[in-house]
Amino acid sequence: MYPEFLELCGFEPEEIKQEEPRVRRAFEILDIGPEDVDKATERIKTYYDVELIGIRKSLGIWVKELIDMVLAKEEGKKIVYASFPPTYQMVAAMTSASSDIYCVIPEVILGVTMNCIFTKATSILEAAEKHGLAPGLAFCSYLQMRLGAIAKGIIPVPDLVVPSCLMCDQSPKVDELLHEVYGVPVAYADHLFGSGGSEWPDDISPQRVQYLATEIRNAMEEFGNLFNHEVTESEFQQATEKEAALFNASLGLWELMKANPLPLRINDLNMVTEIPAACSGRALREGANALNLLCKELAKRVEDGVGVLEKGAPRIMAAMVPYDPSILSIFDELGLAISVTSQVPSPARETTVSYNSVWEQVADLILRRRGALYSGLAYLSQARDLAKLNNVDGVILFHHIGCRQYNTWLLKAKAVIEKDLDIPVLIFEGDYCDTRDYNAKQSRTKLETFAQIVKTAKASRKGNK
Amino acid sequence: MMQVAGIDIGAGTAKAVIMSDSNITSYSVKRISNNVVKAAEEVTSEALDKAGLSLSNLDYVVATGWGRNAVSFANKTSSEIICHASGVYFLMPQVRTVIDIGAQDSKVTRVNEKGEVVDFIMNDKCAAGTGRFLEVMAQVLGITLEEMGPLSLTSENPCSISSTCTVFAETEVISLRAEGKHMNDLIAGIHRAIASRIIVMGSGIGFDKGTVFTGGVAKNSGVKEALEEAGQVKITVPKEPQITGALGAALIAQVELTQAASV
Repeated sequence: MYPEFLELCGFEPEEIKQEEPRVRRAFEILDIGPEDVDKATERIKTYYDVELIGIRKSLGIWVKELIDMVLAKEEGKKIVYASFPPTYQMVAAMTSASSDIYCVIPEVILGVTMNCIFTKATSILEAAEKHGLAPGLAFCSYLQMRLGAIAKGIIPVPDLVVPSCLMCDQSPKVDELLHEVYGVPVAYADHLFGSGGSEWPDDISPQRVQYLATEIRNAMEEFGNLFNHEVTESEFQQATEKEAALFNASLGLWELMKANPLPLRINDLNMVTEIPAACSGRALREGANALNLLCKELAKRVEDGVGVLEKGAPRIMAAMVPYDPSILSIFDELGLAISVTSQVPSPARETTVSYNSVWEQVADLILRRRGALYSGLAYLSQARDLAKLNNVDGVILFHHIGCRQYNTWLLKAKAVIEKDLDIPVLIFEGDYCDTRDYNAKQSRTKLETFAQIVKTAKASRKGNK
Repeated sequence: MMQVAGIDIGAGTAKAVIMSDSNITSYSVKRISNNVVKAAEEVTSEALDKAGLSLSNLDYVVATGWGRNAVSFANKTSSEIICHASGVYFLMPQVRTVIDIGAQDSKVTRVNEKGEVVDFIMNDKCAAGTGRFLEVMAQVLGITLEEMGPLSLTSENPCSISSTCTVFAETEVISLRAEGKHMNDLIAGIHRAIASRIIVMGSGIGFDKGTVFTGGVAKNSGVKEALEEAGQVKITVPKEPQITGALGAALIAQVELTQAASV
C-alpha cells in the first residue's frame, strides 16, 4: 500500500510490509485516500530534497509519529498531549517513562503532516471553529489544529494535557477548554514571563529558574500520580540526555548551513529542524540518526562545493518560519539563502550559578537556550545577535497571525535590527497552518520586493568596501 | 531606437506604457472584466496603436501587478512595489515616500536618493485601506467612484466612521445615512477612515515632503486631502497616477535591455 509514498518517507522495504496495517488504519481514520497520497507524493517530490536519505528519513519520522498518534488509544496507550512550545525535557521524560505511555505535541505533528504534506488542515481548523475556537478571533491555528483534530475524532482524547505556559497564553486556555469539554486533567507547568531581559543569556534570574523548576517538578508529580509511575530525578536526567542528543545532532546541521553555496533548501531545513521541537517517541528514537545521516550527506555536498542556490546568494535569517512549502519555495526561486532560523539556539554560555537539582538545571537550560522563552527583549537581542554572528544580508521576521506573543515584538525587533546591523528587515505575514489567512500572490509580491531590496543593499555594501 | 513596454495588470484595471528610448510614447488604461489575459492583450494593443507600433516592434516587455504572470508576452516580471517606486522616481526624483492605493491592496514605500526601494509596508489580507473599500461604500451610497472626491470636498462636518473594516464600515455608513447624515459628510468620513488606516500603516516607513500618491484611488481628490490632513504632510499626485507601475515596468525593461546589450 502506497509504496512510493512510504519509500519517499524513508520506510525500509521490511518496514513497509510490517507497517501496512497500521498505515491503512491510520489513514482511514485521517480520511487520507489514494488521491490524497498521490497528491502528497507529488508535493514531497516538488518541495523536498528526496535525493538525500536524511531528508527521507526525517519525513518518515513525521509520518510515523502521525500514525503512532492516531493509533495510540487503539494500541492501548495512555496519552499525554504537551502543547507548543513545550518544555522538551518534560516531553522526553514522559515519553520515556513507560512503553504504555505516549506523549506527543499534536499540533506540531499535525502542522507538518496534515498541512504541509497532505494539505488537509482546513477541515481540522473548521472543526475547532465549531467547538470553541471561533473563526475571526485570531486564535493560533496550531491550537485550533489540536482541538479540531480531537473534535473530528482523528486523534484520541488524551488522558492528560500539559500546557507549557512558557510563553503562550492561548495554550493553557485551550487546555482548559479540553478539560471542561472532555474532562481531561491538566498539569500546568507555569512560567514567569515578562522581566526586562537585559540580563539574558548571561545572568538568568535565579528566581525564575526556581519557579519554573518547581512547576516542572509539580507537573511531573501530577503525571506520576495519574499514571502511577513516578519519574525520579535520575530518570528525568536520563530523558534530558536523550533530548540533548537530539538537540546536539541539530547543531551540526547549523554549522553546515554556513557553507557557501548553501547546501540545503529552506523547506528541508525547516522540516528537519522542527524534529527536535516534536521531541516525542519517534523523534527521540530516530531523530538523532536521521539528522546525523543528513549531516554526513550535506558535508559531502559542502566538500564537493555543491549547493542548492547560486554561490554568493544573499544570506537571510528567518526568525520563525512559515510552514507552507509553496510559500517557502518562493525564497529559493528568488535566490534568497535562508541559512539561519530561530531554531538556532543562542550561543552557548557558561552558567554563573550552579543548581543542585535536575529540575533547576533543566529550567536554567530552557530559559538560557531561547530568548523567546525568557522575555520579549531577550528574543529581540537573540535575533539581532544571531543575525550579526552569522553575518546575514537580511532578516525576515515571520508574523504568525494568531500569535499574540511574538507579534508584540515584531515592530520593535525590525527597528532594532535595522538600526544596529544596517540590513533590511521584512515583517512577513502568514500562518503556520491556516492557508485561509494569507494570500500567496501577496506573499510573493512582498518577498520579491524584499529580495530586490536585499540584493541592492548587498551590492551597495560590496561597492562601499 | 529602443522600444519597450511596461504592463501593469492590477486587480481592477490593466495599464500599459510604451517607451521609446527614455520617452513615454503612449499609454493606455482599461478596466478588467473577467479575462485577465485578454485585458493584458487589449491594453497593450491599445497603447501600441496609439504609438503606431505593433507587438513585434517591442524589444522588451516587463509585466507587473497582481496579474503579471498572465502577460504571456512579457520577458520578465517584477513586483508592483518596485515598479511604482521606479515610475514615480522617474517622474519626480525628489520623492522619498510613495503611497500606492490600488483596487486590492495598499502600500507605503520608502525610496532612497537613487530611486531604490529601501523599505515598504503592504496591507495584509484585509480590504481596509484599499480601493475595494471605496467601491463598496460607493455602492452602498448609490454613487460612482468618480463622484466621491468632489462631493467629499464640499463637506463641512465630516462624519466619524470608527471602523476601517469594510464590512463593519458598511453597516456604520448605512446607520449614519438612516440618521439623516448628509451624503458629502458621509463620504468625507469614509475618506478620513481610509486615510487614517494608511497613515498608521505607513508610520514606520515615514512620510515627508516628498510624498507621492499613486494608484487608481489617487484620482480621488477627497482621499488625497484626507491623507494630507491625517499625515500632516503635503502630498503630490502625478498627472496620471494609475500608470506609474506600468511606467516603472517599462523603465526596468529599458535597464534590462541596456544591460543585455552591454554583455
